[in-house]
Amino acid sequence: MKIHENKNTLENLTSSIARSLENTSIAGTADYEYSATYTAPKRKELLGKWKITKHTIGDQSFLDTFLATTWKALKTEHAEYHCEYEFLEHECIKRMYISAFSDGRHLEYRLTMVLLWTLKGDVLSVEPLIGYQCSLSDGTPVAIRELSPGRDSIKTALHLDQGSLILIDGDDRKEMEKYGNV
Amino acid sequence: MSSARVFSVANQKGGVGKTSSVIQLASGLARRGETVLMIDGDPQGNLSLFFGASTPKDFSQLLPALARGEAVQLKEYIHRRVRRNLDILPVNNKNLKNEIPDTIIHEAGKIFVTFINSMKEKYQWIIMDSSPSNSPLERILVQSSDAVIIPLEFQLFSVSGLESILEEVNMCSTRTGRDIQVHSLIFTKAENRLNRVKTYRDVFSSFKIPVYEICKSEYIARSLEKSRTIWECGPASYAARDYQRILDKGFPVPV
Repeated sequence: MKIHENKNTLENLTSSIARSLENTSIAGTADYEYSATYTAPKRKELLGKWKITKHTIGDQSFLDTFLATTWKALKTEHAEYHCEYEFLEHECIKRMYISAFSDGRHLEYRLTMVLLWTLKGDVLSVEPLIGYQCSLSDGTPVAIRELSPGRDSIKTALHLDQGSLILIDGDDRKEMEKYGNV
Repeated sequence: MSSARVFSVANQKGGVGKTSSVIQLASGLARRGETVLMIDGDPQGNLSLFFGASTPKDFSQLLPALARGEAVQLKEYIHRRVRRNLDILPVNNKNLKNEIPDTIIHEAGKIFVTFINSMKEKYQWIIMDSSPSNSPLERILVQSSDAVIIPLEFQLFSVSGLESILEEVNMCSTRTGRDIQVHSLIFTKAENRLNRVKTYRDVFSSFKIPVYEICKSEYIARSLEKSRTIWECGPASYAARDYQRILDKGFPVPV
């Protein structure tokens, strides 16, 4: 089947819009005003400690997703999830803590990770540098794993809006609020 | 008091932020202390829904009444003070376009301009919402405007809608013999992370027209759900700053 491609649709359209504008009466002076988010000094605003207030994977909370995958063999109750990101000048320290009770045992999962971070426009790039994760049962470590540096950086969409930080990576959406400066 | 400036907010493409822009701009002007009338010209009635506006008679009844040459009692049509300084002429009839023939809308259009002119002495700004289509209803809103505000997105079909509305404005100007201006283009839901945004910015910054960006904002989505304006929900948000810039630059305080 022969497919007719029109690769210059936008170009053609904007040319005809430009022609229409020549015949249009315009109020005010021509100027292109960027959104304040584009011109804002975000990097500076990012520095400090942020705690997650809402974390979802698709329609499900991150905690439910974690319990349904990592601890799927266990029947858990009283599950709690805390996570914070501490943005320093070049590094970011991520600390995650999940706890729950299962058959009278206190289960814990801890993750600490140091990431290198850069911000370009609205895209946050992070690169794992060093870290560890461990699982504990009644305070006794049952699994510890060192996290090796990642070769590829992870890119996340970032929105900063009136004290809220929102990170979106596909279905993964984190809302955070700042609770401390560097 | 000076005569009101009348704006219609229009784009034949849906979901580009027309109603949201009417809400934020009109409430921003009212918050500044100026008197504003909003007219919900979109039969979907989302502007009326947002403000919880209801009146004995609505916009869908106004047009046939005008076409019949009836005297219009404004208090029956206008819901006063949905916010301080802010009134609305609501619409509560989603079937407006089916129930009222185009011929009546067309007939009402001539008198609607006179109606709007009579309202100009009562308000400092009149801002009209319109539906995403190209029918006689949208045409009478454009015809009775001093200027048209065109919200759009960084998206091809949205820009295609711009071409149509420009043609519409030029045609209405010719037909009425009035100088109907294009006030500005407003790119709503602006996101820097999208690569294609740069292309659109390059193209539109070369156009001889005021162009504003409103960032994609959680605050706008949240404010709409709670029937609160951006000024009430997130006055320090980037979205509020973006709308404030439009008010400061594009809506000078009436003398």
